[in-house]
Amino acid sequence: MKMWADLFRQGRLKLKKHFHKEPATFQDSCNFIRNAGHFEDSRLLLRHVAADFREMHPHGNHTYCCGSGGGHGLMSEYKQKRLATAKAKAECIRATGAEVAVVACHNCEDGIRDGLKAFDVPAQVHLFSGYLAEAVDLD
Amino acid sequence: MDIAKLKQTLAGKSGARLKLWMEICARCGLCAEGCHFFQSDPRPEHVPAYRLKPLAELLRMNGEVDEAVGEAFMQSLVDTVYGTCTMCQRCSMFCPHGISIAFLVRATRALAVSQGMTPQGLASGLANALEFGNNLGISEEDYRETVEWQLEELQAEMPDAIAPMDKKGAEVLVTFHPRDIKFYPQNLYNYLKLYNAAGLDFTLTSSKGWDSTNIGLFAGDDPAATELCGRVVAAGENLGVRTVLSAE
Repeated sequence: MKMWADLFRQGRLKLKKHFHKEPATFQDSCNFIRNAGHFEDSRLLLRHVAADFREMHPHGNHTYCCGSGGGHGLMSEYKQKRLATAKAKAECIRATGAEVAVVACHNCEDGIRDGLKAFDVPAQVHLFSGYLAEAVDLD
Repeated sequence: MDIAKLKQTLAGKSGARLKLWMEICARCGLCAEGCHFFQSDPRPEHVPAYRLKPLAELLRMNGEVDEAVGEAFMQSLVDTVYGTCTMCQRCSMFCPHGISIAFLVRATRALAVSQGMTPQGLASGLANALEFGNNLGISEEDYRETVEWQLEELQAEMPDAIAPMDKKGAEVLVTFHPRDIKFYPQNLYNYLKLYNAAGLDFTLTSSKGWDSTNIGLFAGDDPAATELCGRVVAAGENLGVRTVLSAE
């Protein structure tokens, strides 16, 4: 994510402004945001490509875990527990009214998708790379 | 149970930071507010400080677990530190002492690893990663074919697109999550599109260093985590890159 933001700042990666029209929110991941501190990098890119970007509450360093971190994505033995505890995050996403939840982590991708399904939240999950790749300006 | 190995691992983990944090946790419970386990399902065992209990008991016993109850104790330790924590560190933001519960949970996971009690889901992914170089057991041939296939797809949209393999002296080494290769090749397409569009001087590696996931880190298995991380570092050093990009 830092690389994408750096390339964008340098003018090397050209992205279409407000390319994505549908309301979108972003999963601040424990690794990229809380630990690695790429909050500003993520928002620079999101605010550019998303016409209707909505913050979850809480977000940034106070983000809730997607539920799939720490190896939970691989431990089927604890899956029911993981699904039950995805509620905190699923309700955050529901409250934004977003139709798309953008994620920048493969664990988050699974955790959020499972959580939205378990708690019946009508939003799609898109990886950040794909979200940006669609908005690349090749002209 | 291998008590000697348990004691050895416990001693190896018991640095100043671990001991200090274990001493100063007042069990005040402010961390509960921070935890998504507690927020979603408020139960005493979902209070983050509760996860320190098995480690506290082992420290008190100096690792001398009674063989008669040892297995049940260790199973409860496993269910606590693997089953009720994602090590997301949110609770630390609510702790008046800033204790990293995730750090302590990870140290406790290492104790489970010392007894061969890594949960099956993690253990099998880890075994794959160590044996095949990636946690889904993808062969080098399949990896190369997937890269070529997605590059061809991309060239329909960007005729000049490239995906250099083992290019010495490139600026950046791009690594992947194995699922980008095995289940979601569209992700690979997207990464290649972004880096080609930006004109980045990048390379991929055909060595076992292309998988940047590290299940050893999740499992709390330090030797395995070091081995997996070392492969990515070696790939980067062999190619002489300046930066290694980890998977998304």
